[in-house]
Amino acid sequence: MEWIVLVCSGVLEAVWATALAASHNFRRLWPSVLFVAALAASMAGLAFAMTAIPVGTAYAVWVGIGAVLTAAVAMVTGAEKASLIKVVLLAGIIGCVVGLKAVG
Amino acid sequence: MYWAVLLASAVLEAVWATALGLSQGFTEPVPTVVFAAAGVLSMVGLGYAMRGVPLGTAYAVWTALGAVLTVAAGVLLGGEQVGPAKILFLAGIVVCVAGLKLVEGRSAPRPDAGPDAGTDAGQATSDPADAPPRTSG
Repeated sequence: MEWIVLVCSGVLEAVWATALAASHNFRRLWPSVLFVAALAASMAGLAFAMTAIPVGTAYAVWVGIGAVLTAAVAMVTGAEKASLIKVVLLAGIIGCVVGLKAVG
Repeated sequence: MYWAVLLASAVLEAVWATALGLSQGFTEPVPTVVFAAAGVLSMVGLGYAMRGVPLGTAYAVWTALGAVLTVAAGVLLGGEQVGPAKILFLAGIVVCVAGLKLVEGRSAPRPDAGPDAGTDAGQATSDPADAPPRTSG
């Protein structure tokens, strides 16, 4: 259960990061509202996950999933060019997260 | 100065993460307050450092150092168990995230404020005032 919440919190990290960029320094209402809501939910989820998963592991997984999704969204939407090195790094993060789950 | 603030922000990143763990799901007041204060200061510091340090480099250093320090704090203070496999996977995440941010920072169409480099999907028409001054890169 904690791992599921942790993964969801990582997803929400990508949501708030993307909303923050879209809010244009909080000059747009709905992206700003989404930023605050996703940030609060992401932190609450991470806090819950850390009650069962060691802090270092939980933080690394949270950061990793957030980075994977923000990069993937940027590549899929065309905001950033896809490249082999990026795909390899994304796969590396996912592999390490799965590995941590397996050994943790 | 920008680099000093950046390193301090990375330390604060580890501070809030560690405090969040100690807060027991926001039920312990002191760690909860430390978490909120360190979290805000870390973001503010990163935003400031990005004016003088190239975006990708700043975010890579901030994330990587923050994660390494968080794991170190977990092991030293929280008694987190680490074996060779776990260290390998944790290091793999840190290296891959840092590498990703470095690559993104180099290929980003324009600099952006905040730790969201490259997440600015489809916002290319924004006005230039959104972009912070950039001294190098």
